[in-house]
Amino acid sequence: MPGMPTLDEVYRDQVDFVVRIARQLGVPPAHVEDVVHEVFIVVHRRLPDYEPRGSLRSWLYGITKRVVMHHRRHAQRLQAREQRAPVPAPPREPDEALARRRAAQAAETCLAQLDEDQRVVLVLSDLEGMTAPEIAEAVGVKLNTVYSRLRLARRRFERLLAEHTGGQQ
Amino acid sequence: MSEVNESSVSPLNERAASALAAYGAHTGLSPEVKTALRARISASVAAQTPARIDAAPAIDVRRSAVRVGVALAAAAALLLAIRFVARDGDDAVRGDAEGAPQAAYGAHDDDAGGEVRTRSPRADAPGRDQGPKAMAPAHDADAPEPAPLEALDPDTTSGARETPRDLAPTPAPTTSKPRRKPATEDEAPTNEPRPAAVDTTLAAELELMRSARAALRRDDPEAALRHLSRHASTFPGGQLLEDREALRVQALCDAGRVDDARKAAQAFANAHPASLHVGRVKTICEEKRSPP
Repeated sequence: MPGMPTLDEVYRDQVDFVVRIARQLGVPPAHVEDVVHEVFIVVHRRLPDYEPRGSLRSWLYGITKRVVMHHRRHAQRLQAREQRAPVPAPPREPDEALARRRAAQAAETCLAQLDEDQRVVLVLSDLEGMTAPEIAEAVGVKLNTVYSRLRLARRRFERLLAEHTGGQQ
Repeated sequence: MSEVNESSVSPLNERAASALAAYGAHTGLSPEVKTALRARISASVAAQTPARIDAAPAIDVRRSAVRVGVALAAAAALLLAIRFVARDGDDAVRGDAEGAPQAAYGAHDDDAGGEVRTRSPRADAPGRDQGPKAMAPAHDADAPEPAPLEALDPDTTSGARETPRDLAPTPAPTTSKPRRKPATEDEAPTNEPRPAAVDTTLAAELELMRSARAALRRDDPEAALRHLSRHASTFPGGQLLEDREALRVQALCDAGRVDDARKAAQAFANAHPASLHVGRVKTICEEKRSPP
């Protein structure tokens, strides 16, 4: 059917999106692969029902969310273990890469402090570039709610980041 | 409620935006992991074909309904023809009329009949008995392409895997059955799908792995270990050997057999130093530093 993406295309273009969403929905790193695996099994099964008129990312978000909910109980049990696992010493990195990694870690820490509702909207909008109507469709809330969550999330994220990084740039 | 719209939400400041972008760039999977995961998805998809058919019944039902319709029309036509013939022969009408539909189905056996038959498993629980084989051809169109093909070819895959079979501790004694032999009916456990041909070997392996994962998910590590043992004895050098051993570490750990788990993890790391699972396997049991 014209306009219908194949599983390969969806995977190629959207796997990173699914990974990031899974992370935002609380999937610990060690379980992301399992979740992504399940997500794309579902994608494959439901691709014939996918309406190309809708937003692919909204559709994927819905699938990812359901898979994550399904995994959550199991993941939570295992997450505790991983948090207690010793953190390996980071390899030495060039300064620039190190700075980027620190910024990424700071962002991750601050994102984790947002409510899930706000975090998801912020990430879908400002990281994934989805439009507010797409986000409304994906998350299943009104457009106004998306805007107000986004506004709160942005301000709170900025504040947390400023606190987290202190005076350093 | 006050009207909120895009213009009323000022964007992230530069610092926050760049931190978020760095986070985004940092969060994806490496290309190697993506490729491996893609192959894993393809393999699972191949093993789950019946479930997939369940998901798209509308199209299939319509197609098979058309075919059944064609078959019935042919049967009716044949019936009419017989009536014409019988008018001459006079007393043959009743007997031939009863046999006509069968004859009509017989004539369309390679089409309508075949289709109807392949649909029948849908009424059953998906993933049981009929296996993916009967379903696969109809859905090749959305089957994955390059990596998948390699992943699904038992020869390529097991050829590429150079891991010897005696590396990891296998829970059940590995019998002296020929290793490349596909799962045959006498080896397959009775409650598992029974692969009928070489090309279903991977599907059978996957089914066992899936059962093991499902058992772990419902907190039944002993059942998972049984599935994994079954895999080990049926497919000692199977294509999913690494997955099996990694999952086994997890199952042992979940079962509280920490020492066994750690030994298995060490054996795994020695045997498959380049495996994608190594990092994870090593940390599975970390918090249980001493046995209970």
